[in-house]
Amino acid sequence: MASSSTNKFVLKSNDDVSFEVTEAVAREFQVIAHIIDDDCAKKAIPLSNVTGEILSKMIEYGKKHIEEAPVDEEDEEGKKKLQIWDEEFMKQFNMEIVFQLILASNYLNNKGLLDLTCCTVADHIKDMTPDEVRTLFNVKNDYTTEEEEEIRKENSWAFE
Amino acid sequence: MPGRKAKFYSSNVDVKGKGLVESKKDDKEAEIKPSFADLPLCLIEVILYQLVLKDNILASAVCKTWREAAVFIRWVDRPPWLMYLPKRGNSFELYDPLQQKMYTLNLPELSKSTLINLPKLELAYDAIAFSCAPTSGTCLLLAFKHVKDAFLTTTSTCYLGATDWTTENLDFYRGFGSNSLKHSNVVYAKQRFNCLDGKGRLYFFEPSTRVWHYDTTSLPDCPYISYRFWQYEKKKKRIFLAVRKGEFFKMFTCGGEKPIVYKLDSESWDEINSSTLNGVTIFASLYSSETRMNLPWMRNSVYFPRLRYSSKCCVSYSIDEGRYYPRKQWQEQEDLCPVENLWIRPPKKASDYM
Repeated sequence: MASSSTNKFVLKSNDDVSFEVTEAVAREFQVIAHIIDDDCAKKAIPLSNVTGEILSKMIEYGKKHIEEAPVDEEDEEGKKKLQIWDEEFMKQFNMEIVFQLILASNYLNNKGLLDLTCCTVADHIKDMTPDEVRTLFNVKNDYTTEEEEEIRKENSWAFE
Repeated sequence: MPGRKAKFYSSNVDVKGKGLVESKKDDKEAEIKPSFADLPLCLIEVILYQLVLKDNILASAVCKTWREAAVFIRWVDRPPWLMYLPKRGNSFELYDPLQQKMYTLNLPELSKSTLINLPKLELAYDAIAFSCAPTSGTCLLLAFKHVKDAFLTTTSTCYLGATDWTTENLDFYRGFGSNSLKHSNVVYAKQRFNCLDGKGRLYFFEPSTRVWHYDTTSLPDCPYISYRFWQYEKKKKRIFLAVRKGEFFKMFTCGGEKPIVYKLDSESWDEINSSTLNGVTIFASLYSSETRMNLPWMRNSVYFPRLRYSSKCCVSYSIDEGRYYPRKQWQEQEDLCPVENLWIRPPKKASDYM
């Protein structure tokens, strides 16, 4: 087998957009790593749950984390640099894209990106009222007035 | 995602009873803007896992799915239950103060045949305590009596399974408070037996060195035991010790007055008010006092057991509101903390026993 820097694989989104990536980037996604290990990656790898738009973002994330990977555990500066890049990376997305990224990073099994996307959502939830959360994340209030009142009463200190 | 779409559509018609046109409109919107309530539960949990307790509770008010995830990962204490010691038989009454329910359990494991036998102790002790559950194997018992005039403390210890108690007269003398206030319950924490004397000073016995110590932190002038406040002199008082994660709490009660709670900081005993209690609930009883954090409905309160014949099984004092629930109806401290009950940790799966 050739070295991972020269080996190339093709990932195909559910709207038929193809991306050629190096093996190292492809292996950033656990599911694809398994497909490669099982020798099932001769042709383009179809990803039925991911659109081209989302897949291109995920590959961008994967590439960056391969290229700029910290040298070792002690490389605090490298870690910090990557963390700043992660923050900037997430800033460009609205919540619809974040939603798709969460599902896709879970589906392709990239723990780093799943944590990053979930943290972004959690950061938004912090210090928001339930109403603000519903608006931002498009969640319908399915409580009756009485049920909601009960939840508020149960831990009234949190709602003060 | 066709599966998700279908689900959304049908739930709109079923639950909200909306017309077809309206639902279709919603459906289109939903397709453009996904709802975070539709994420798989495990992913909602990953998101909410990042939140502190307060935000977790707020998130649970967003919708039912989020609540399910939030409650599942929320780490909260469970309150202790009140156990009533039976006069005969194996039938125990237990009271859950959160659900306000009384349970009657038959616990044959507490019957006479499974009693743990201890060697006979000759000492007429002031207090006796276990270091941990007697079923754990490493349990140590301590019994002690202060000999007032000799400045000694007769100290007896016994490991389970030992054939005799080890008894010594150790050099240690604690101050006695008023006659009505001798000492608190004994709590095993920080690898030592801890107790408060009648003045509220913490003293402790270390089994490893077999030495008694005093804590040297200066004492606050608690009005209930201070000579400056004559109005409390005739009233019955009690003192309680509770430990939470290495932090010591002491509480004075006096007749129907409000309980006064102090927390031991590095340098002083600080009186606790609603802004410094941070969600603690203290469950006080004659033999055992427990603390819990952030219990729903019960934060910043002190819970007392109460005699069985009363209609409600607990009396609580809310530090936030500065009042008792129900309002004062008892005469003496004996009614608040009767001899025949104590707080216990409920069985993990209490439903198994019901």
